[in-house]
Amino acid sequence: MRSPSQALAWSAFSLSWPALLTQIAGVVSIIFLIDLAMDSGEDTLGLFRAADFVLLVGLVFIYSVTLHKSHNVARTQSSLGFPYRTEFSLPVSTHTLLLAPLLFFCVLTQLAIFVPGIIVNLLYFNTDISIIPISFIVFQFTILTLMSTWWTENGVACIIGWLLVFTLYLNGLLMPEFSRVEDSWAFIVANPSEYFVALIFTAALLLITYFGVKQQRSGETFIEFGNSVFNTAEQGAIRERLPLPIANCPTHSSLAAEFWKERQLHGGYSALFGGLTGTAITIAVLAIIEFTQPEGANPELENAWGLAVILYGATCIGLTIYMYGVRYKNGTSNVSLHDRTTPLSTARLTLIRTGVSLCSALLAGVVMLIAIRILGPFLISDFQSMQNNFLETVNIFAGLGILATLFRICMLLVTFLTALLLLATFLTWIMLKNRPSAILSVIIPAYIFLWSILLMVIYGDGDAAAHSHAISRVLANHLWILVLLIPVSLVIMMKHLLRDCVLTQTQMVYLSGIGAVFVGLNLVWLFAANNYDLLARDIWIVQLSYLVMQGLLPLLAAVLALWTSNRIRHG
Amino acid sequence: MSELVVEVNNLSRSFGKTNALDCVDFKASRGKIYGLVGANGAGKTTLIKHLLGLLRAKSGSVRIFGEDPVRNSQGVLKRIGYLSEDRDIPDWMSIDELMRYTSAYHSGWDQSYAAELLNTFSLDSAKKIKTLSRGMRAQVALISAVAHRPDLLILDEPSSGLDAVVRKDILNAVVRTISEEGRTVIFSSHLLEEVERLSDHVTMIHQGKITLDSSLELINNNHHCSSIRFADPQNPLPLLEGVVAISGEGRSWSAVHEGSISAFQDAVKKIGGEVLESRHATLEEVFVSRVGRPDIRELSQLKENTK
Repeated sequence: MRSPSQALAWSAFSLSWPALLTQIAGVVSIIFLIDLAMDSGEDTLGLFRAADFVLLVGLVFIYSVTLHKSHNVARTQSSLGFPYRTEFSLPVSTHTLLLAPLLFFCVLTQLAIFVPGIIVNLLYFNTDISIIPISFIVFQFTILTLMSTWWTENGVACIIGWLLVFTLYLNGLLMPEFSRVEDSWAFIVANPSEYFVALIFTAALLLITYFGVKQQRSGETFIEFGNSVFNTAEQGAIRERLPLPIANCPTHSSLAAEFWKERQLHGGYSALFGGLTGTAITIAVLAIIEFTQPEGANPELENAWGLAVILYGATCIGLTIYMYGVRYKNGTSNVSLHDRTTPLSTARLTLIRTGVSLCSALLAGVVMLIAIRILGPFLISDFQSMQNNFLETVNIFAGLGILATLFRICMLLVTFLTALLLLATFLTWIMLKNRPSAILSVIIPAYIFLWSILLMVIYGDGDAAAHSHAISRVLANHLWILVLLIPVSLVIMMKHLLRDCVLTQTQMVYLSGIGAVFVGLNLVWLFAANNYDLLARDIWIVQLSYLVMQGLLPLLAAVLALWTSNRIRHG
Repeated sequence: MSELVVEVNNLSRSFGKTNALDCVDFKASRGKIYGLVGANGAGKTTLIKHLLGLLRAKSGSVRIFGEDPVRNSQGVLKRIGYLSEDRDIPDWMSIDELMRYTSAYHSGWDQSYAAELLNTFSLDSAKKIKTLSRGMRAQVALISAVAHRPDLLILDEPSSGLDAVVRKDILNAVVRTISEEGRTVIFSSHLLEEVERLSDHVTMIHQGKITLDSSLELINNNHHCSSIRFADPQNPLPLLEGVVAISGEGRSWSAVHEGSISAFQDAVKKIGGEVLESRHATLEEVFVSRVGRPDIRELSQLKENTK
């Protein structure tokens, strides 16, 4: 290595070249398979759109893998800020430290788009490619994402930075306005000076990023508040930083003490903080859109409540992901030995930990709902139509009696909590077993994709009835897998729980009984509400069995939570 | 015979291709201090994790107070005090919160003892644990492990990374007290002098196998270090009964051996040598002779090859 920047670039490249090769090979072969299925001679536009999508997915893939790998190697303390902190001690200037990985990522994303893109173009389309616009878009998205993430360790500043970039973007100051050339795949910029404007603003942001990284290198922060509170890697930061009273740990019983501990970590204050942060971001984004776009130019604004739902989803994940006490840092999962040696039965520990996290998720939703309802009308002029649109979309209780409404609310609650518990457990297993999880997450979509390609190759669009029948058969056969998988996994996990005395036989019988009641209630709900258009369809046995199994999901989630806790605790 | 607190029989554990524990038998009686000695990766922590129920015995059995620590984790853990090598305690709590939290789990929590130890270590209970130095953190972790007067205290590398003062505080003030109360202590350590000073019983573990399991007194009485001199250069040295390890070259050799000194002197005399000096081997010499590098264990290797 002749220079520090070469050494840094080599280090980044050595981590990412296998992913780049995989991405190029993957994108080209997937487009090849799609071409086989689509008969692109007749449908070039369809293939082109599919290729566009696959390239984008490929780009996301390489971006995620590379960031993940560099995160494993470099990230040492906070989950925010410049990730290559271990390199702060290297004898190189800050601008080299910053620019080497920044430019490397920019080159990498260019390669990830253009190498497979050009191969596919030569093979199938042989058309002009708008190299400069595409290159510029990819460059801007890469550099802006990285700079917005790296420039500060401070959570509040980081969110403000994102909002600033978003505002500049909406005003066309970071990206030129492109238009498609008629009868062509190519697109151009009407006014090339927009490139210049975008580059000037990007350079200004780069300068801010440089000063931010320099500050991090000397161990300084802008303000202490956001730095600690938004750093999810640090336990208990929220209760410490919020100016709210902290309850004393009770000493009269172990259950009360454990409940206190969980509340401190994932309880009411976390829910309040998550809900209010979600609200603040939602309102800020909507206000920016409203002030930036001319009135009437953005009719989609009334659907923007979806942003609140997305942010609530993210808050729920944040509140539940650590419910089992598993943390993922520097490429390895970690469970505190103190947690594992807590002298409380696994069943009680699981009940308290999952219960507190799930209640917090619900509470955060209530906080968001109330806060948006109160603050929205003051900050968003079009709030009323947005609210009406939201109520119309979620109005599923119209015309129901009190009992039916309560029943439906209960079922929705159970479904929501089941989904959240399953997701949190799934994410925990990803942290615990990241390599097998990564392999599975590739194999399953690949399997589904290959089936769809196979069916399209065999039947095409010519014989719609045969095609539809084949899809039904494939679906039915795969439903059997799920129908068998749920009870079989339940039996295996229950056997393990009995073996390790996590539950007694009587408790197991009670739990199974409650599970059976939910199966019944679920079927009543599905048929009464005519979900999936059940009443109008011929139900196959396999579909019916699947619906029964769907009713078993709450039981599965509960047993899986106990089994996961037991595995985490005893290996 | 005294009551068994810990009983491990034929315990084996593998992680991938690595044998972390290989047919380990280990027993601990009430009222004694057990030193667990081994090189890094020898299997000490894996054994301790089995005792705590953090790993399920896949082959063999583990009983603590006659109970399976996995099936009855709550019952077993209530009677154990554990200090992990990483001093793994919740960073976000204050010392006082940790004391209150821990006391809720143990009906036998001795508040005055906890206060006395806090005072001895000069710890401010209002301080957050994350603001403490490594030594103070170890002291806090230790208080939370011993203040409920556990029947079994397990210390995993209690001295690791601590200065001499804190080490002395921790080991002298607490371990001896616990032991004198008729409680059992199991501690693993790299510091053999410390083990020698405190333990009643020493268990050496090497590559997952117990290589020596005996009372310290017996180890001291039974292991000697002798300097030998021959009239003519010896290469290789003839086999000697009872030798655990030998090093040297030509006419001067040094051996760690088991059995009586007189028997060893006779054996050396038979092959034309002379024992210049003999003394009790230190625990470190015994340890190195049993688990040390091949050059030191030359004779052991030679014996293996001959077999």
